[in-house]
Amino acid sequence: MRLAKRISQAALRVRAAAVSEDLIIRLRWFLLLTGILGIYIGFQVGDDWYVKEFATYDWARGMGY
Amino acid sequence: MAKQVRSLDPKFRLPAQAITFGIHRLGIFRKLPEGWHAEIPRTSAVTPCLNCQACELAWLACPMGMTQRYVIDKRFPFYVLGFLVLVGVTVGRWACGWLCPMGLVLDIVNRGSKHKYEPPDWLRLVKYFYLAGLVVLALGSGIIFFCRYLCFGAILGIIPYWLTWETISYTWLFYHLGVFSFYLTVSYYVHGRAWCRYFCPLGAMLSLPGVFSMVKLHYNWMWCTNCGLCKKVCPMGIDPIRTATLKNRLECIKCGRCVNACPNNCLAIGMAPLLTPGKEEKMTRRVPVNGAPKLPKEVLTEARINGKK
Repeated sequence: MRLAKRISQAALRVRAAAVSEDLIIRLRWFLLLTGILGIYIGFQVGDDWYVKEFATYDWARGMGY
Repeated sequence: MAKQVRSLDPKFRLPAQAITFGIHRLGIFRKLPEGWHAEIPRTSAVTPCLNCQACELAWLACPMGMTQRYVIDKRFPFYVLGFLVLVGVTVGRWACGWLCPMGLVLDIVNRGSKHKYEPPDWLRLVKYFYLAGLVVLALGSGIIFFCRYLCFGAILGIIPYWLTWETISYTWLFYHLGVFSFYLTVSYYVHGRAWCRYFCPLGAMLSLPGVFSMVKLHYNWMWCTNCGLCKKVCPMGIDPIRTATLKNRLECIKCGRCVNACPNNCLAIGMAPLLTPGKEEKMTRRVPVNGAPKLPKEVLTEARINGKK
């Protein structure tokens, strides 16, 4: 019971915590570059921008309708 | 004095939602008579909205459907994840508030509802379980499980498909009508957007990078009378003036209802700072974590009378 209370109190603290603006700005740039890198790898490795088999795939049939 | 932010006007939200709804259905050109038939492939690119790609009129892929397809094919969804991280970091859940077709449906339902029930806050975690379950169930079952059985937006795919080909069984049609009605009923009785708050896996996916979103809600506490009107109208059930908290960063869809409701124009939707602020600038930006101090009733009334709206 005490452990559950501690966990819920810790969760409440995290939820209400104010996130530092500096950290946010740095992580924002990091994630922005990660996103661009993800799309680039998608292009290079998987040729994913226009995945032919997905584009011609009948999604409704694939869902079993 | 806090710097005035150039705000995105919330009056453009409904037209934006309607236009996006139309753009998602541009595949209708595939249905034009012979000679007019446009070569629009299905799922040309991914959209940051919940949009069923089983729809005969769809031409943009739902990121959740694509993720499941990648998982089933045992391929890592670099493109979809990269795209969602990019959208999350640039606009965050602004896409939920301004672009999502299902958000438009929920906003219309909420306009007709006077129910104000607020479920417990821990229910918000359900959407993260939906997101994890979406991957696990697709891996385990080898089918696009979430879209097939659980998705609110699947009705947008089923009905056009049923109308054009009539090959879908009535069982599926009525099943998805039932799923749609269930989520719609919950949304009707709950204050605000219940699907977006508690269930949407795409919202969960966008909310994580959305913590660092470039579009954010700005709050000028110097003019705030702490009247609570912004909290009352928020469809996501958050306190908009506590902009720095993790809960706000995860949940705020930047719909602008609080911006419209504020009698003193303390709130604005605008760009977040892109570079680390200097020490002096940091001092001017400092906002009390719990919003402005609670003021006596007479002051609030006076502020409302003197307010711009």
